[in-house]
This record gives sequence, C-alpha cells and structure tokens, in this order.
Amino acid sequence: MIGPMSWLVTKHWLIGASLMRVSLGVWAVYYYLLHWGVRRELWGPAGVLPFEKFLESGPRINVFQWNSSPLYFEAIYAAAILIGVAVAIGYRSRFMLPLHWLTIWSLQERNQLLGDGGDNIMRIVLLFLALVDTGAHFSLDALRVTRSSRWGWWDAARALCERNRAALAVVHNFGVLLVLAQLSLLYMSTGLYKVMGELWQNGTAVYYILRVDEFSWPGAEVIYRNPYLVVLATYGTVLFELMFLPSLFNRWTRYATIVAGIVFHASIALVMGLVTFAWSMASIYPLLVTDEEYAMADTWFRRRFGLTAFYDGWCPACLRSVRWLSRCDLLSLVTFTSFRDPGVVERYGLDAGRAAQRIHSIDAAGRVREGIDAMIALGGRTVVLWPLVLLFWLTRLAAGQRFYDAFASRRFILIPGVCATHCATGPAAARRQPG
Amino acid sequence: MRNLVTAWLVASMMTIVSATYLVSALLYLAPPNPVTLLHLPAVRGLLHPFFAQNWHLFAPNPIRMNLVLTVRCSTGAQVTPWLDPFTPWLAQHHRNRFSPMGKMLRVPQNAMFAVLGRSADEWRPLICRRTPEAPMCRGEDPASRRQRDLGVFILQRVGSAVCDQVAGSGRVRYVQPRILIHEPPPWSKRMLPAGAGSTKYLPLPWLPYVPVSGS
Repeated sequence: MIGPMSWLVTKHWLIGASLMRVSLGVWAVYYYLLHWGVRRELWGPAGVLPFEKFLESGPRINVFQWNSSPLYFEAIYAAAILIGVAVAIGYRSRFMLPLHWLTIWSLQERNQLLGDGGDNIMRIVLLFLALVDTGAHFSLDALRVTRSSRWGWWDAARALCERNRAALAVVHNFGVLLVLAQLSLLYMSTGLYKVMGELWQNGTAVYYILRVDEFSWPGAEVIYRNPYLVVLATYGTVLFELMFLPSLFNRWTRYATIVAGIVFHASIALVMGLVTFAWSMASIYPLLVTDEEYAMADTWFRRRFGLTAFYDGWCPACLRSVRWLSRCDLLSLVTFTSFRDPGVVERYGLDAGRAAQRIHSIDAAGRVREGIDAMIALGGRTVVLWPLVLLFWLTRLAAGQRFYDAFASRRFILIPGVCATHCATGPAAARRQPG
Repeated sequence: MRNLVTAWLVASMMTIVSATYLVSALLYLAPPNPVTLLHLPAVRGLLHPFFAQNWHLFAPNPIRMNLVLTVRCSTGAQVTPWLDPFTPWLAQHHRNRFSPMGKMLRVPQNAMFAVLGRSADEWRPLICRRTPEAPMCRGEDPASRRQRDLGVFILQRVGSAVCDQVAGSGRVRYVQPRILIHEPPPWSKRMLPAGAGSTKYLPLPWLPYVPVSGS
C-alpha cells in the first residue's frame, strides 16, 4: 500500500476521541442539570420565547418544533439527559452521538438568544464526531465488543463494519482531522479579527472585558488595574490564538500549546465565568495527543506511581478485601501479591514475620511501607478511596500504627494443609509456611 | 482487494468533502476580502444552518459597556418606581460560577443588544461606509427590523414577568423597559471604582402587559 493510504486505513487518535466523547457527554449532563430549575423559562413552550415565536424563526430539524405540549418538552429534556449519560459512558456510541447532536442542536436553536461560542463549537464538532469511532476506550461499547449483542440488528451492523474496516478507518481519521481543523480555524479566525482591533493592538482589551459586569468577578480589579497583567493577558491571548495551528506541527510546541490552552480556558472559566464555553473548548484538547503519546504517558505513569501491595493470602478477609480493592483500582496502579506465595518474601526482601502482622507495600522507588502507611499509599493510588485517605492520615497522626495493628491482629487465617479452622497470626504463623 | 478499492474510493470522497468544507469555512471566517466577496452566497449556502459559526469572541474589539435592564409597571392608576430585577442575578453569578444565572442573564442582555442593533456581520461596516443611506445602515432592512422586534418582544415579556412578581399576576396593564448603558472608565482612569464612567438611559415606550405563565 502507498504511504498515506497505509496510514489512513488504521484508526488513529482512538484514545483522544474516546476522552473527548466522555468530556462532551459529561458536559451535556452538567449543562442540562445546571439549567434544570430554569429549563421552562429558557426553552419551554411558554418560556421567554414562546412556541409560536419560535416557529416564526423557521426551525429546521428541531425536535421542539413538533409539539407545543409542556409534557412533550419535559420528556425531550429528560431524554436529552439520558442521551448525555449514554454518550458519557459510551453506550452504543455510534447511535447515541447523532442523537446527542440532535438534542443539543434543538435546544440551542430553540432559544438563539442564549448561545455562546462554546455551544457553537459543540454542535459543529458533534457532527464531525458522527464519523469518528469514539467508543474504543472508556466505554461500555469497548467492554461489549467481544460479547454477542441481544440486538440482532446491532450484530449485523457490527459484521458489516468488520467487512469495511479499512473504509471506516479512513472515515474515522478524516472525522478527527476535521475536528482538529475546525478548532484551528476557530483560533485563527478569532486571532485574525483580534489583531485588527484597536484595543487588542494597544494591549488594553482585557481591561475593558473585565470591566463588563457579565464577564467580571469580584477581585478582578487586581488583574485589570495592573498594566503588566493586562498587557500580558491581551497580547498572550492573541499570540496563543494565532500560533495555535503552526504549533501543532511540532511535538514540543504542541505540548506547550496544550498546557497554554488549558490554562487559558481555565482562566476564562474562573475569571470571566464562562464555564460551559471553556469546558466545551477544552473537551477537544484530548485529540491533540496521539495514541502513541498516551501509551508512553501511561507507561511513565505506571513506572512512577505503580505500587506492589503484599497481603496475607491465608486470610479470607484479606482475600475479600483485595478483591474489592482491585475493583476500586480504576487506574490499575496496584499489583496485589500474597507474601505467602513461594519465593515472594525472598524476591522482595520482606521480613516474613512483619508481613504477617501488617500489610506491606513497595513503590516504584523501592520504598517499603507497612501497616497504615501502606494503606495510605494504596488509598492515594485508588481514586475511589481518596476520601478515606484523609481518615487514614488522621488515624496515623492520632494513633500511629496501633489502630491498624489492633484491626489486623483480629483477623482469621486459614493455612492450606495445616489448619482446618483458624490459626494464630503473627511471626509464629509466618514461620510455619508450608514448603 | 475489494476492501482496498472501497477504502480508496472513500478516501477520495472524504478528501473532496473535507477540502470543500475547509475552503468554505476559511472564506466564511476570514475577515472581509475580495475572494470571499466573490463566493459569499455559495459559501453561506453550504454552511448554513448546520455549520454556521461565529468566532469573533471579543473581536475585533470587545464590548465596552454594561447594559442594565430596569422596568416600571403601570396599573393605569399607579406607576411603580424603576425596578432593577437583574442585579441580584448578577451578584449570584459572581458568587457562584456554577449557577444557571450566566444563561439567565444572557436573555435580557442579548435582547437589549438586539434592540440596540448590535451585529456581528463584518460586511455591514464596509457597505455602510460606501452607502450610508442603504436600509441596512439605517436599521431599516428586514433582518435588522426582525432582530429589533424580537428584542422588544423579549423585553416586553421579561418586563411583564417582573411586574407580575411586584404587583401580582395580571394586575398590571403596561410595562416600560429602560436600558441603562454604562461605559466603564477608560484605561487611563482604571483606578476609579466600578460605578464611575458615563451612564446613559434609553427608555422604550410603554408596552402592553403580556401574561407570562410560570412567572
């Protein structure tokens, strides 16, 4: 196959596209729930723009144009939330994304007085995402890919996709490139207009923006009264927007642009209060990183933050805890190993007596922790347990290892081939390892 | 082999479609220029409505004024003082960045901008420089009129809803919106407090009360 074609028939940016789908789905659910209390006023048939007035604007393909009943509106709004959830969790992504676009588009067109740049980019990239395989990672679709579906037509569609895998990869790659091109056009367009503006040229534009109440914040005077910050923010904005596209062609400038973009949009969200705008823009950023770069980052992350935890494989409660902890370890950073397994104590240089008394852990730097300290290290790497880490810390501060020891010494252990019921714990038990 | 032929066909088709889109979007988004002028109807025809986009985002110059909507209500016999219902919403928006007030505030804000005739169309200043007597330059073209009417309609409804809350539902006969235009102090006077700067008032005529459900 010729060079570009061999590149095109393999799907690229699968991780970035999946992250983007998750972000856009969560964004939509947040958006719908944020406006739940005011939805009737903003978009309802008797809201600020009544149904008849909305029809006068000549809507096209809008789910809200088909019925003026408040009940219908409520049903569509609720369905939109469910579709947003389905998009976020990657349930039938190929089918849900066009539906998601339809609900977002309909809502935005229902009341055009409310739209901002974030809404605008959202609905355009959702159209392009219909071409993209966004369900390859972090999705129910990815979990289900090996299993047969209960929906026969879904299996038939999947078989058809398999037969046309190369063509679909081409469509996918073009979809991603269109999203990236659209983002670049956005920055280029606004950058070009800004350099034509007098206030952007003389470095005071950010001052005037922050003095408009809608885009300001109590305390913003610290920024807008400081000439250095105002000029830096004004020229920095223009420079970032104009340099966005050229910077994508070099790996290191691309990384710098990603960091600058995240800081830029986070500042817009915080200082100017345009949270949903900033979020929808930042949602596209995962596509700026390739699958290979994600894989490299993942390897580095695991090497840096990986942890081996040693538990007591003869203790039924410990086995149950390990099973539960493994499920909580969403980032797969922890490797659980029973110190009772042959050779483990010797290989890791553990003290078998101490390991029998307290859970041990070894991090990537070779640092050995035990008891409550090992639990803190383990909790820090397990997202679900983050709320408990503070509790572990407080326990550590208040009682050292005593609380952990009191808890661990009361566990039962079952020694294979030695004890039929339960045996004592501690160094004596550790020394009686079979083999 | 069949797969490869299909992939080639799809790649060719996608190249044509993508190139058409990108060139159109580039012309559509670029500042007014002779090439865009030649192809503007075709470009707009391709991109509207689903790919319509506007990335001015505070450009070429950002908004330099605060618009505050005040309303007064008339029962026929009595007239209320001017009411300022949206400043508390703004305070809430400032207190909590994760409240729906950002969108709620945009309704009166954009309605006031519509009444004042703000337009993001960059072609308009160019045309109006040459032919200031053109209807669009005097706000008399159908699009400008439609926009202004929509703005007045929204302000009438918002005003009616405010009056319902103050005087009781359906007790008011007329509402009068008034747009307060506040220009903050210029950069050279940046140390002055937020209230400084110039203020103008633009009262709209008395408008008939319209019942607004749920107000």
